[in-house]
Amino acid sequence: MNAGETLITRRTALGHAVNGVGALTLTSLLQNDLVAKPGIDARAAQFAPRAKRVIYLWMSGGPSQIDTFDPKPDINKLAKEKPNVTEAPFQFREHGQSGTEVSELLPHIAHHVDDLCVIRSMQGDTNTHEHAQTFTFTGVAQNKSPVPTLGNWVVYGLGCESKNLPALVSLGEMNPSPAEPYFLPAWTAGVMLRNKDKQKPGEEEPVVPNLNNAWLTREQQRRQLDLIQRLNRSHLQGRTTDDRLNARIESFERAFRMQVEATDAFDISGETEATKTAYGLGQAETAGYAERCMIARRLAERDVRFIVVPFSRPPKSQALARMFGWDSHEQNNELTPILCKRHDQPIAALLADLKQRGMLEDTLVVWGGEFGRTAGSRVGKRGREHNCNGYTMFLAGGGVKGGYTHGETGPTANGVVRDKVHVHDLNATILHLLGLDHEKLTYRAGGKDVRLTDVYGNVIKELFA
Amino acid sequence: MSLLPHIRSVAFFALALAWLVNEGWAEKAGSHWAFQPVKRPVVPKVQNGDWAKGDLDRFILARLEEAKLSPAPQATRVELLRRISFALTGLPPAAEYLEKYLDPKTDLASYVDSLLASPEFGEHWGRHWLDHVRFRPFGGKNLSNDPYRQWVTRAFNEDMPYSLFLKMQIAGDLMPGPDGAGEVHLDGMVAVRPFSLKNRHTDQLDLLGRTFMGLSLFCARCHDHKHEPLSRRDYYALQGLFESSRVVELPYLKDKKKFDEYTKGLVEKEANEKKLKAAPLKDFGRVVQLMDLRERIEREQAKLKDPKEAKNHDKIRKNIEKFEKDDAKRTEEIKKRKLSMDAPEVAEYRRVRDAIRAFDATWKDVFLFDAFVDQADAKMIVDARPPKEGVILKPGEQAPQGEPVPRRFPVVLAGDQQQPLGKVTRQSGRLELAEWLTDGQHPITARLMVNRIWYYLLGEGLTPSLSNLGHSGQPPTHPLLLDYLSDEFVQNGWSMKRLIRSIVLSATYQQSSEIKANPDEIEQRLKRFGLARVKRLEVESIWRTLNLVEYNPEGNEQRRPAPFDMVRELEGLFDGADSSLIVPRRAASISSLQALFFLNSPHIKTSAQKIAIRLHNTQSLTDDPARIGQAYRWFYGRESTPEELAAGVAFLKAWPGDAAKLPPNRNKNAPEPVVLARWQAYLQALLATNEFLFIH
Repeated sequence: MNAGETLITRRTALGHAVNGVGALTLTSLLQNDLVAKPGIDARAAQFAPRAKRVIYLWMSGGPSQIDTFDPKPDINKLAKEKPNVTEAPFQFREHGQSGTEVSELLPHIAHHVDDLCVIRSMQGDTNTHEHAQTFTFTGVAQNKSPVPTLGNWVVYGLGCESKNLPALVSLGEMNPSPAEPYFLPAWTAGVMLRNKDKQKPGEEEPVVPNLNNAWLTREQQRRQLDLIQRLNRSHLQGRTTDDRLNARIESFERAFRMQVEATDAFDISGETEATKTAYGLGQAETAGYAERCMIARRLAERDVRFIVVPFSRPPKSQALARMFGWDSHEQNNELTPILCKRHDQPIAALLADLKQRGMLEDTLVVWGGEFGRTAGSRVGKRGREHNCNGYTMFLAGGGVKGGYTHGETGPTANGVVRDKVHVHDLNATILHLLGLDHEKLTYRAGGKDVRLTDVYGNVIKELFA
Repeated sequence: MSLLPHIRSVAFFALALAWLVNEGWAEKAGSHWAFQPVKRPVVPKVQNGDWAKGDLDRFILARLEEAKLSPAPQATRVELLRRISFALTGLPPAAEYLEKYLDPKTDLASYVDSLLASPEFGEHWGRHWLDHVRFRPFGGKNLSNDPYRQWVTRAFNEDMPYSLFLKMQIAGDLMPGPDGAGEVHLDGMVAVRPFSLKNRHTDQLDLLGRTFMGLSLFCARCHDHKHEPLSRRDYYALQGLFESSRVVELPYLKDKKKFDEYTKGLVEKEANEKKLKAAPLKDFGRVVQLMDLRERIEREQAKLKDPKEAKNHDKIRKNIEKFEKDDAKRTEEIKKRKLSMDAPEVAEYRRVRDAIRAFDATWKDVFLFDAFVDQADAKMIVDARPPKEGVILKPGEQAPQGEPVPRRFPVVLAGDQQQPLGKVTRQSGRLELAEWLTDGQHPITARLMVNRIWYYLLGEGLTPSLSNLGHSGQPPTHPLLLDYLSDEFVQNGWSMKRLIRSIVLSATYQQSSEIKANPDEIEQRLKRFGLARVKRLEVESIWRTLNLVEYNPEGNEQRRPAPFDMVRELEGLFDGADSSLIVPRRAASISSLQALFFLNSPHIKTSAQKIAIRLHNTQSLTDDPARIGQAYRWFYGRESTPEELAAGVAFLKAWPGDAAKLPPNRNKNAPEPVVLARWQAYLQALLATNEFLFIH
């Protein structure tokens, strides 16, 4: 059966929402004439989109802007005077035709500056990892009532382009999880892949578990699935209050097709040696993230709408960097280079690969973490602390202005002095690039129209090409 | 013209404004609903009085009638048996109950009582509690033999009053046990492990705040709370209680003599430390340090004569040089202060200091307090005497500067006239804290737990903020009902089983989860509890059900726990509680990864296989329709329809399979491989359905 069809014709109310914000009423999608029949199937955006999909390079932990994209030479002077300031020894140079400044720690990405739209003036609301991560993706810092993520909203707005793969995939564990869409329809749920051994976030080798059946033929399995779905359809008779029943029927069909499609999408063995080398697959320092980036490109090719590529933890031989990740409270000048090295080449290769395949035009690449870092740390630690006031993220492709640097921070990256881009602004802008109006992409929950950007958010048009 | 009057009036205005702001804030703080005492409300008048089975229903009905809604019809008996069984035990209804209670004329109350009395009740509800305390088994223990989990399970099964349950987890070690001696309780505050030793008190206070007090106390650690009337002083006043408590290893606690010896020594040690810091000894610390330094130099010089140290000579010489410089500086300083190297105070200083060192050395391995937290497998907190008067600034930790904060409870709840705990008790004050929380007058304790129990049964709380009843939580949708139930709860001796029973037997709980209505109305109904919520099975229910159905009591099999790797895999896929977090509410997601588990996991294959073998070994099941019927009863708690039977038989008959390719099963009770293969495929399909995974 075509489960997608069922979902459209049986538009059902949502009953399971958390926190009593409760059921779907007349969806605002209908009110806003976004589409006639909101459901899992792909549909046109609200207006002409610049990007069709998103690859979110999620650097959770908080990468140091000071050592990557936002040069602060004053810090070195200060470091001589104040013991709690950590010197910033990495050299910046202008690159490309645009002259965008990038530090020596990102030599590969530096080749692509003419495609990058670097936002130096990001502004968040909180300096706690968990809250800031949740805030970046949901617009709500402390989840007293959990809410869906940016990815779920995008799927809600645009539907699922791929018939055989989920619309929203995180290639590794992340917080907040996109797997539970809360008040949004159950079909907007994403798939969050864990590592084989369920290790810490950031570990290598995200796998789709149970992707293949070891004891049934395809024909046998289809027969079995037909029985499951027949029983499910009969169970569904007269039940309309919880759309998870429908979503689960759909999930089985998709899972069945994923067996073929995902096996192929996750199998990078067929990539050319040149590609593998370009991504850095052969080297221990870069292999973990290289694999993720290659899979991300393969998923993008297969019309997965929203792909999160969480950062990758350095190998066991680099114990300290492995423990801290981007969160360089100590020894920033030793750790940040390791983390940069780990991500620089794979990301650069991904940008080149997308461009070469003509996909960068309509793929929005987002790079960044939940915040940046301060000039110093506790005395003796030589690290950098959390800083949500003036940190850097970059966008590429998807209709953004390449070779452009936006905003400015204070002399020690302490606060934004020009062209602030708040997290809500960034999210509004990302939605806009996808052809969605953040003020109109709303969902009726708990008696009000809820949206990703709450009552905030300005689309930053200066970032557009 | 003098400016003075202006300045005065401006100053006065500022003062007045400050006063207004302060008072206004205090008033707002004090008037918050959850800080008011629970008041037993008047039961509202309703029109459709016949529907209500009790006062609980009248409160619900009144809110439904306000919105011009009538309750949803009652759920069917099949739905109720399954719903109640999963709600109380986490398992599907047993065969004997189906036989007995499928007839709608039978009494549901006795069904509920049987389930409440079954050991599975404690296992299921104990797990709910474990979500709130970041449970993970102690090192070396597992789910089935962890002592804290066993204790929680038993507490639920024995219907331990919630007041006592809470008290034992905060101060069980200070309460008289059955044999009169201090009883050992593995408590939720400490034994359920903090993430890190460094942050032990932070974790304890976070847990105390959210799980026991319904307040986001942790926010007040670094600054006065932004949303709640809780100050940093309130926070550190409570931290003092925990700083006055120590984690010790169980064997040493049992050895009373040794423990007393230790505490006596500790009193002396602390007195000695004071001595060193006060006149007349204080100044002579310098002299003693200098003497230490000189001894050190001698030792280093001795090394120079040692041939084994030959390769280090350069380093040693450098050290000596450094030390000698230091020596000169210190000698100068001592001369300046006119301190004599031969004063009797010097000898006294050394004696006192050595006594401290000796104490530390003696007890190093025994009471290395905090270091035990993550290592020993049996531990508890116990009060170390003397308790701290209050918390003062410590390096590396942000605490209020200046005067120590005396140990006490938060002002907004306990008032500003309260006696500091140091004046009330010689212990840490944990017992007083536990008693204050459970005195029946505390405005939050009962409401917090009643609301959680309501949530676990109805799928949503009367306030959705399950561990935050403060300003930043959400106000209750049914404040009167919450107060009514809280009052009943306390009146009924904090019996959780009685509360659960009364809710499950209400007309409200027994409504259907289906109704024909537009989405607006459905939203209203869910908000007002005029419709049951559909629930997805919790992850524990999934593996416990599989495990239960697989096990064949007739086949002389041993019942084994579910395989660990399956449990772990399922926990990841089906929203299990993360043991590093307080999880008041679990997600209930649906995803294609879950579907892949049901389609392809070797675990599900094994389960289906075991169940197939069991069906073929049950004497009373002589043909396929009988076996299919039994599977329906096990999985869905109902009889199969003739159509379903026919479809099942047809599926089995048409199953394509090449007998030659199938390996023989090692289980000698298994049916022949072809039969086993098709039954396995069929049962796996039944397990993958929505009817298995959802409760209506």
